[in-house]
Amino acid sequence: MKSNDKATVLIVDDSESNRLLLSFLLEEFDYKIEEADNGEKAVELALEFPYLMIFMDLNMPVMDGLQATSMLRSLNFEAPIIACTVEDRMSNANTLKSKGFTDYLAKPIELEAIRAVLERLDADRQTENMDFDNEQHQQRLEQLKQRFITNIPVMLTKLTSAIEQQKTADLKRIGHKIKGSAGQFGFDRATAIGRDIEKAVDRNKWEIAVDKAYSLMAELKKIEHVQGL
Amino acid sequence: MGESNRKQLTALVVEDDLDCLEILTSILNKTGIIHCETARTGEQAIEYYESKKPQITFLDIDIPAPNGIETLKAIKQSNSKAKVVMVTGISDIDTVKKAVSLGAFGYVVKPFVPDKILSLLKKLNEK
Repeated sequence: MKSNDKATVLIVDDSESNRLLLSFLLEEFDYKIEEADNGEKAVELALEFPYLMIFMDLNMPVMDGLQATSMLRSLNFEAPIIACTVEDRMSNANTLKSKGFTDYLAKPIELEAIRAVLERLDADRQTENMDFDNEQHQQRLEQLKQRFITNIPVMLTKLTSAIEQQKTADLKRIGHKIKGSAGQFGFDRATAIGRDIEKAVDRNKWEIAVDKAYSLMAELKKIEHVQGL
Repeated sequence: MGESNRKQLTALVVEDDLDCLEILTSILNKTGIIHCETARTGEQAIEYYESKKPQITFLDIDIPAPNGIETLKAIKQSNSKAKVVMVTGISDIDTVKKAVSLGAFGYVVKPFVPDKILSLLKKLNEK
């Protein structure tokens, strides 16, 4: 729930005009907004990014809001999910809570209603934490990051060798490793390229994989240069 | 799970990437309430699970033979109440659906965010 930057909220609605309207209303609270137009995309995004809360429409194509919320809650997803609905039968806090929603907003959504929901969330929010030494964790992370940077020349050699000898399995392994670890150290671009390499090899797109491998080499050199300064 | 929230928990971390393995075990160890064991392949994970029955398992999806989903299936066959958190580099709806249908306890997308891991541990204590 904590965020050093602007907190991000996810709006899920298949209607663009509804998303725009809710974004407009939420600007009042200085949130960063991200959007999805169906429940499946919402599940993927919600699991990947630390949203402060999610505003979820109920009736959507592909996967509706009830299914998406149920799926997230079955995975012990914690962030508040606010149902946005015009359906009278669903506009009941207890019914919605039993379906995994934290609260609800009746459409047409009004600013005061959002304010009331946010106040209720603040009152409910549990802030207790387990005994966790974050400073020590950050120190260890920094050590591992340095190890990653020190290891860049080895990764470059392996990449060159995999390209020259057309070793697809090796290239995939390097892409997989970078995808898994670089993001942990804030090297998001390297993570994305690693993911692209793995995907390209899986799809037998060797030329794309090689092209991405060169991009990865450039990115790793950049990391080495910038971080080594 | 026990008489007290402070009870020592046992966790198994299954991950073939050494950096990720170290980061996740570091987060778990720093809670001070978890005894952490590790495995690098699905086969090792299943073997360890069946002999030690850890209270929570963090299972990378892209591990060698068998992969994370197959390993989850095997662990659930061994103990339908097993608490298994799937770990992955990418949030893909088809994999999420498989994990849910097999009864995964959680789904964590890298990079690891300590707060998300800790909230899953809290849920474990609540159940």
